[in-house]
Amino acid sequence: MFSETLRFQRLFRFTALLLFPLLAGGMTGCTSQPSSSGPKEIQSVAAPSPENIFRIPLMTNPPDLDPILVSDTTSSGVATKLFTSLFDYTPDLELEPCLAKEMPTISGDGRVYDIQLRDDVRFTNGRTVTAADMKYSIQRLASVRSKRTNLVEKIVGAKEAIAGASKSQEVSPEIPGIEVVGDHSLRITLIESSPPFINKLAMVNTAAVPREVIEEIGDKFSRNPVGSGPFTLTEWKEGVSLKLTANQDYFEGAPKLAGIHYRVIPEPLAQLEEYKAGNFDILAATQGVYPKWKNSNRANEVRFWPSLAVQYYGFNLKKEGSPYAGYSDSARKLREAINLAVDRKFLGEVLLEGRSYPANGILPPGIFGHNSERPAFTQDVEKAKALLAEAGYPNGEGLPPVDLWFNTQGDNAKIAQAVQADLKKVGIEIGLKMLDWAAFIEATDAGEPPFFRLGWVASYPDAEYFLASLFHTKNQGSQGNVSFYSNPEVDKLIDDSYAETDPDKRVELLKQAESRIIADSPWLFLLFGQETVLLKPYVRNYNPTGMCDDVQGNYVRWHLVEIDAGNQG
Amino acid sequence: MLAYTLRRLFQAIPVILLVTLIVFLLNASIPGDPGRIRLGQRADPAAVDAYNEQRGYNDPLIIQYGKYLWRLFIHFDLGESDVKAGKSVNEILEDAFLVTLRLALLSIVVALFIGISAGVLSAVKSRSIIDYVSMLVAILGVSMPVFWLGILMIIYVAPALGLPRTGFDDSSAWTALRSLAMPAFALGLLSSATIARLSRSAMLDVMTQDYIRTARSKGVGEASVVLKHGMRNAAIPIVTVVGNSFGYLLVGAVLTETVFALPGLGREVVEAIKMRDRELITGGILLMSFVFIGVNLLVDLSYAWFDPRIRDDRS
Repeated sequence: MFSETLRFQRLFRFTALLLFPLLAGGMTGCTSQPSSSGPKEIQSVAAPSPENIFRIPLMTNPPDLDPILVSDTTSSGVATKLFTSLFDYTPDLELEPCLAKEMPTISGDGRVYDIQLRDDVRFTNGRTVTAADMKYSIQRLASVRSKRTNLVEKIVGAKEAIAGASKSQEVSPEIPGIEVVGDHSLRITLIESSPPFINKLAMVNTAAVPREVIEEIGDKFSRNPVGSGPFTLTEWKEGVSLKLTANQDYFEGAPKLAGIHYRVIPEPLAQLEEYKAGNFDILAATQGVYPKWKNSNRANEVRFWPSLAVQYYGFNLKKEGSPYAGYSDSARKLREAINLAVDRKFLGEVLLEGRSYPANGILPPGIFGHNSERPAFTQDVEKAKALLAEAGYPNGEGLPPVDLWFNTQGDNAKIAQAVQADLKKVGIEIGLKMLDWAAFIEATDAGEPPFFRLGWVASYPDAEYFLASLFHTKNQGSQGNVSFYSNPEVDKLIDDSYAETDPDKRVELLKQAESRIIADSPWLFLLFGQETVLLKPYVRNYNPTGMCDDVQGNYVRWHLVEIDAGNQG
Repeated sequence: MLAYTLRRLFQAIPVILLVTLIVFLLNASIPGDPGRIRLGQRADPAAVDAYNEQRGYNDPLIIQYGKYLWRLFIHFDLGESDVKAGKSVNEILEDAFLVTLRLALLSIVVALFIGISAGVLSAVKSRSIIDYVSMLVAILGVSMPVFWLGILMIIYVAPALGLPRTGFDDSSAWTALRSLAMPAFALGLLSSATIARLSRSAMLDVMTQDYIRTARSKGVGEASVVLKHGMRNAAIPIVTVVGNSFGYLLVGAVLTETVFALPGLGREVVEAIKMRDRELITGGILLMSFVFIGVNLLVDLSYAWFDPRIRDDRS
């Protein structure tokens, strides 16, 4: 409730700012006033929803909620609250049973997974989840409409099913490697041992869906999803809002929240104002917000955790005419020089306000296989210059300029400008080329850019997800290896890791592969990420993992999250 | 009047066809494989090809265009979204257009009220303080980016007036009106500036005409002179600019819709372009073009209503 004086003050400020746009710079200052001593004062209302609803802002409308179509963070964030999979992650990113009664029994050769399902799980339409539902749900990933066919391709018969489905348009094409052994007993047989495979059974894409509902409504399932998760979708106004209601029959216990409401607000400043007004319980702390709040009276609302993501600038090693392509001594030294020329600390701490930090390789902390002993990359201008000279380009003389390609999202442009300036200091000239995402990704898949910016976020916390997708020769091009990197030694180490069932030996193989790749410098290894959010002080048991994208809350135990109305900060 | 209307409608047909062709060709030429967009960046190439085949994207462009026209003009079917599974483009655009239409109508009411009042007042009280202040505000209005104005209103005006800052709630007429009040005012204020400047100059021109002097000399009251004789004759340029403004409000409110989180047509089409939702882009731009053609047609018809000489000249 605003007093008349406060209303008048607001209108006065509005009029002043309207008439004197030069005062614009003072706008943000009007909302946070420096006090004479101590932290800045930020006015923010801590008023939980009286209906016990958790309120989340979204930048965009989730495109799809059908598990086989979920491939973006927004859809994933909503879908993980509606669906459950065979396995799940603990806050420490350890796998644990979810729809499965226990961890699977895996055959000695690592190919056969016997999985017992719980018999007390129901879809929100009331029907019990069975092994047949799991078979149907996983097989749907091989259908022509699936966005994640790669998740099942290791299963016996899956490749044939995928190829056949392209012609037959089958909704859930038969995969012989998935067998229903009993009502609540499932067997999955792989073509070859693949220890990371079990992670795929924890992804929302492999979640249980009721066959009868899909048969009844077809494509509309994506707009009217039915799952077995802690919440159920009760209203979806496209582009405006989504309302989720607690599933009182959720098998791990009824959620403590009555529901979750999302509102789509594309403009971050507008989201921030709504958060400050007490209309949201969580907010992504974007540019300008994180440092300001961290040093304010509301610092207790700032939450951050390392994300399982890496940001890199890739060299196209197959690009004709690029001095950085190939595996010659000169090209390697050039790429190494670029790695030494960039001040990542400045990028992370200053440019990105502490929301990222220098990478020490490919695998971020939290990933199975991360090497915590390797130091982070640092800037060494003199060494970079020396390497440039050794490569045959003293002070950059004779080095043809190449363009760095990046897309329009987020902070890409300003990072690119900073990198460009750093490279110029050692004598390397690069141009900048910005494209929108769709055009950019089509160009990188086709191997057009000689030098490009990309990131990689873990769908599951295993080194294989990074190393195989991004560096194995068989995945060149649109399958992920857009540097067109190819090293038989690395391929063999990755392939051997699939056959290795001993986790310690497997991690050793993957660490060797990572070191070998780093020695070739196919990337400018840039930054690891950090998720930063504002969370109202009355929210309890919100425990994000590295797999949790800012406000999306993937893999948060949502049935345990609660609002403590007595604590309003 | 009927013959004139029919003739104008008939003239719109080649324009519409040309628009469909241009939009279709532009859309086909932008980078981004629709199958890959639908199925994801790392999709199996066979699945991508199968999707494109199923949707007809592998057909020659002329066939695709022919099928599109058939669907559009025979079945009024704009196809299925490439990005939102289970949603038809007709459904998406209908929802979005209704939001934008309400926003545009409300905005134009605001713009007309402020713009014409300020313009007429400035003209009648030419070179007075009222004139200078009105025109200063009009210049500010023309120069003010709607994005900036919108953010200021969210921070200062919404809480002061107790209005929702962002979002759209159409659960009742009252909540919809409340949701649209701020964006409509922001949009309307900007359009009102142009209307005010034009109204002023049109009225200044009209008010020096002989028939105004004659009316005054006959003893007609000043209000009647201004409203009945002056405004009707100054109406044509004002109607032109109002018509154009209304057209732009219907198709170009994307910034306002983004700032105030309204699920309108502009935002929907911009999102579709980002996602390369080919069917939705084509449908959205066509709808925008039809709306613009329709609004221009109405403006032309209104000329004939305001000034019968136009109708007579052309019949």
